Amino acid sequence: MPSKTVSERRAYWGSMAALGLVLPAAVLAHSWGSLAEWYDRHGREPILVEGGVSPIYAGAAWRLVYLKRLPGPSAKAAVVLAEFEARVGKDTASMAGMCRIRLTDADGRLWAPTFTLEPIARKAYPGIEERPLCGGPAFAEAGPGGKVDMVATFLVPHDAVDLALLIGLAEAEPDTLLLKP
Amino acid sequence: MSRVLGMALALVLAAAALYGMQHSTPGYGDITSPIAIDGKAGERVEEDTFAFGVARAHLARSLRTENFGKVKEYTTSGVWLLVEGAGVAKVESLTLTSAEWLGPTGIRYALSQRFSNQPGYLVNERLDPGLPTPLLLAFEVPEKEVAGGRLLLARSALIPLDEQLRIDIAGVLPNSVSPSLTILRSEGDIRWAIRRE
Repeated sequence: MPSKTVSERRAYWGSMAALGLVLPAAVLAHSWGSLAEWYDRHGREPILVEGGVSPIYAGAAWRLVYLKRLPGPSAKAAVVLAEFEARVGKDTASMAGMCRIRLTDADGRLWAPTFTLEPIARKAYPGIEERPLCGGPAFAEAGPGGKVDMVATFLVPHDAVDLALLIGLAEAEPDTLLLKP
Repeated sequence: MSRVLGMALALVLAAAALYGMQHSTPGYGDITSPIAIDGKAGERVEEDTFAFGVARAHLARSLRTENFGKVKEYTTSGVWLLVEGAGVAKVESLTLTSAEWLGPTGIRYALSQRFSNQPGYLVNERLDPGLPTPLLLAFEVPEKEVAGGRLLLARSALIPLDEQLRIDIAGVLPNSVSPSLTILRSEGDIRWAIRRE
């Protein structure tokens, strides 16, 4: 068998080296969409707002009125009542879905609201059960420029501190809004 | 001649290798099946998003429920396996939607849907971070599928490569099967009580 020329050997090893670059590049190009989607879901920080400022999110101006801690139904839990409002912008179509509301703490834990308002909150603040749920129907009823006052209650352990309200709307996600008192 | 034989042998070997690979390749379900985390009754078993502990287990030929004076009886052709425990979310509020009993023969039994109105029943309760929640589970299984089985718990059966708790409850299984047990409503942290008939 004739021995390989220098140029053939160079081409062979050059091709092998190129494979080392081309293969990872091909895998990256193929999975770029999934990686970008994963980053959108997990890597994006919420828009942080503190001190009663009303930022524009999903076409509305949002404000956290208060977070109040009330005695819980058991010794291990406290009730947190959140009152918040949204002043609807001109385009209510950008707020058609239901809100995804969570309460967060300093450790990054997330609590979903209770299915119905906790009895102690209803007793301490009569009439709050009449408030609308955060979502498209309430925003549509308020109309452009209208204000929607909303409440939610959460059950949290006593060691949950530095609480804040996290709001997400399908039309604006993966961006979410973190309202701190 | 020997070259022809060699080629034929190589061909046969290649065909055998391909056949072997074809029949030993795991399916999509096997590749993406949950990652098991083993534990046993009486200890906290945890994965990334929740933790669960089994406290007690009961076996019965029939179960009764008493709700506001109304009694219902649930019979079975096997036995009822009742599991009492507590769960807690670690990061975010969630509801466990996948609970199965894995029998010693490898057969899986789904959580009974016959107690969907029972307070404290697994699928009715949400787990919150930092707030352990007492949970009740019931399975209808053949009697021979109880000993040596495992309780399987996961956030969802649909998430590929998710973690799944596999809990050995042999330490809390009773030695005999009760003729009947009654599940009563309770107003405390534990929202049920079990009465032996």
